[in-house]
Amino acid sequence: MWQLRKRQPGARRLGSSERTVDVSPILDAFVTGAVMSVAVAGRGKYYLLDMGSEKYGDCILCVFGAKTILIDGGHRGDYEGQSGFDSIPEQLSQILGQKPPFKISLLVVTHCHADHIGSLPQMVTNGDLVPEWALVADEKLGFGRTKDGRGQDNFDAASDAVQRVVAALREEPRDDMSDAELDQFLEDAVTQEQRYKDMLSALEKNGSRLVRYGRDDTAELVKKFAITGMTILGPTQDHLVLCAETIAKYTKDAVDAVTRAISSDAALSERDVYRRLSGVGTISDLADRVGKGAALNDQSITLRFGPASDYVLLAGDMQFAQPEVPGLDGEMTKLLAKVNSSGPYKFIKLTHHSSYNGLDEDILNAWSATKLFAHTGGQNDPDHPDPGSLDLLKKNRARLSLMFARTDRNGIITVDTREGFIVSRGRLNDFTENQRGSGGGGGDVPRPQVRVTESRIKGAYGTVEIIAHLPVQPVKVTVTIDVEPTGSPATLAGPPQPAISGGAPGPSLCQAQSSPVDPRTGGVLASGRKLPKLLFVTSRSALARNVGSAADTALGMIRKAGHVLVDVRDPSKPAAEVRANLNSSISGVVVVGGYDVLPSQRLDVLTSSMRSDLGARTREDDDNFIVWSDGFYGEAKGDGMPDLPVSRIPDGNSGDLLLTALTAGGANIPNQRYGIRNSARPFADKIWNGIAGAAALLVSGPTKASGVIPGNVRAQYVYFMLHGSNMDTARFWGEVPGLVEAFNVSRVPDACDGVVFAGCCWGALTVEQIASSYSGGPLKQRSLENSIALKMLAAGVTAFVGCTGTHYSPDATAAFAGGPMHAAFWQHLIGKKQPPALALFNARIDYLSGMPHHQTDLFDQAIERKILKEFTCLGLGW
Amino acid sequence: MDTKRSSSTQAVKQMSPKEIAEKAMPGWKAVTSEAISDAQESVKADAQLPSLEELRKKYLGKSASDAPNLEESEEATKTTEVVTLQSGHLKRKVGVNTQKGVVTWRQG
Repeated sequence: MWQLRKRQPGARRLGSSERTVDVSPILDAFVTGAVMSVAVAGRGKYYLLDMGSEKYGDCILCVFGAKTILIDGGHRGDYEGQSGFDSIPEQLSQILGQKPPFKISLLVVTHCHADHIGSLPQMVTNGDLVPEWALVADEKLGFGRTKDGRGQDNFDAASDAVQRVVAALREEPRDDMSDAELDQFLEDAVTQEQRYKDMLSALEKNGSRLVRYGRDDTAELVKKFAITGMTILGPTQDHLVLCAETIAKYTKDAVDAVTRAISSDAALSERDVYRRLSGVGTISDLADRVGKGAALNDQSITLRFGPASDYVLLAGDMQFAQPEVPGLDGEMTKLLAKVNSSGPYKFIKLTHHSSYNGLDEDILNAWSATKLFAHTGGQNDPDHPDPGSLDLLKKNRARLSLMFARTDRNGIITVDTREGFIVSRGRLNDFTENQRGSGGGGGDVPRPQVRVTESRIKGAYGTVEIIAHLPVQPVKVTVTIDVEPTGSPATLAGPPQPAISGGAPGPSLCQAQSSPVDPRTGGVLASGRKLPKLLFVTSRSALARNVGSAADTALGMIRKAGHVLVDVRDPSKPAAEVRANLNSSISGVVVVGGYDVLPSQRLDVLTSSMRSDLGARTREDDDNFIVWSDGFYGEAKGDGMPDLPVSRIPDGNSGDLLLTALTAGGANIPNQRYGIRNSARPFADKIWNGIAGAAALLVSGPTKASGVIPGNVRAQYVYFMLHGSNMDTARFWGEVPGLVEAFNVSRVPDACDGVVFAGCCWGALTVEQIASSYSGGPLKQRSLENSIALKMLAAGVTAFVGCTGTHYSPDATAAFAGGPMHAAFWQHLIGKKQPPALALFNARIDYLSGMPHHQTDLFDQAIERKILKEFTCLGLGW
Repeated sequence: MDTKRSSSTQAVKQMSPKEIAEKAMPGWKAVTSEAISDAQESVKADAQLPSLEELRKKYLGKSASDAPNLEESEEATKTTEVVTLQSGHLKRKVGVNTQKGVVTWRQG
């Protein structure tokens, strides 16, 4: 056995005299791992990124308001992204709502394994990741070297082939790989140390404050991140050094063993040698032969975050249950005791990919106060989560009331210590084991195969035909197709000019042709979803003035999908011409363009007698009870009462917005619901109960726009019940009391989908003027940057349903004013699965049936009439 | 206890609509309502929403007698006092039920 002899700086040596590696120079520079805590800390959000199909992998983003902390970087291949999965930069973009470079507050590298360092060297050296601070595993300790870089002499002197195999043997075992995968793995392993050192150099060069754990003082760093509650629980200096010694010894033994193996049979490839030696016990007397890579795992920086009420434990791959490093048991016992006494924790990321050596029954019992546990790792891994760990969690689920999420089944996991998990796919509490070669889909579902059988360009719109071979069992498959045009300019020419006509007959159910998205054609209407037959109305010339050539692209898309398209000859008087094209086969009207393309109506929601009876009281309403309304486009008889749902795609002077809105829908949306309400609008809780999903309705305050994670807003159903203003439609506010900015355009994700319903004053006002103050002349559309509604349409939502005037909220009963309208909309959209335009149309009828909802004062009844008409459906709406 | 409750109720009833509104909405201050501009007051709308009866008849197939509640009828009463409040740059109206002494609805 290898053991430390003496705990004195300058005198430490490894093992026996025959196998001594002097690491004493390291110790001189070591400082004790600081264990500091802070009195006041914020409650953060934690995002466990999707590790794809590849074995192992950890990457966690922690967000504490403006402070962002990235812990580890998954696999090396996650920089580009594994087939069928988003890369780490893409996932970070989704969560942070911005594109690289990501300027984060702190980067943490827990230890020097490839599935944790992963994509970080490329991200840093390419400038995609710019951390202000970096707390990193020390490169000398992590690769078993002395302070001067020595300690691996026989490794450094070995042949390239030997180095490749030995470096791979230091990693987590990967003997399951194909030949090609293993070749890449060997190459990655042997270059990892140098790439890691290059990354640290790049960090320093780029101005990051680098703190090497175990070498540098951490006090200033901990103080700097006091708001996150970050506490470094360990490991201690002795713990780290003991592991470093073990790594050094393992490397030396492995060099000997690999050299012998290669010498014994020249026909053996590096792959063969790796596979032979990676088996248990094949290298005699290896220090950590039981758990490969144990010594590196046990160097994991162990962190606690959050305030005392919401502690979170993130400890990398620390093998709490079985250290598997000779002589480390005592140190590990002390560390575990410190971890346990530093709890209880609201959330714990299970260490070492939920391995048997990270968790056992005693540890789980010590963590019995914790309700949220999560596993990180890729799908194609039958050993992780360890079947025993899964069984342990499953057996104790009811007793401990615990919840379990796992990145291999749930994709990106969002952890909120109060609200629980939000996952991007799958179900929670899935305790099933991964099967070998199953791709981790669960059970014995064979891995779906997708084969491209034909690829050709047809006509002006290129088509690629794909045949997908899928198993019979229920399985969800996401096929990502990137089409790179390679044809001649003639082949790739834009669509033919639309020959717009009124009322061209067509099928009652239309489906766009399934062609790939081509930026030159603008894509396919509704992304190819089946739509009922719709009447699209616009003024082509006015639309072209606003968005240029995108107008013809848009109209070509509509016509190609088989819908009726009317180019209104006199945009100032569109009603009669539109009405002439309405017939029983039409299910709805979509107005294409802003109010300056085809006008909206200034609708007086009061009858003459009501206005007379109310007299001066009408002035108490900021809109004088006159709101913008598009309902008249759906009137078959011109009686002021629409017969069909109407939606409008305001162009916002943006061709991108127009084309994105027309192609909306059909995306894979990670979250089911997202919502924020004003703290003084408790009625919204009742509405929220009718919206499918597990996420809690955020309340503002305390929720502030600066704390909103755009990636979370990318949900199927989004609900806002906040203050709005006609003077600034780029923001919504909550109350603390007093106003607090709860949401703004900068929080809208780059890519979005789903349906938004906003009970906010003027939330859907897309022009500068309110209806009651408009007295003719040019109408000025708002821009994407000063309208949340337009920004969300540009991001891809199918509909933004909101108010063109001031909104009125009821008391907590939700029984009058906006309450019944909100509830009816979601009921039709979700409960009856109606498209948003139709859901709003039917919600109005439901609302009408209850009017005036027991209101006896005439002003209150006027409010009800306003609520009935002021909601409008922006976007395709179908 | 009964005496206290009685005096408390009496105190609430004696509060003005502005006081009731301010008490119900911490962080907001009652202000004088700004009159709608003349232009806004005199503007002509493009269309007018039909009466409740006409709407019910078209969408619900019901006559006025089927109406669940009142509108535009003699029984409509003035029980709501509108109060304008301000917090920061936002002004909002609330409806105070003068009979019950409570805020019934809030703008926004």
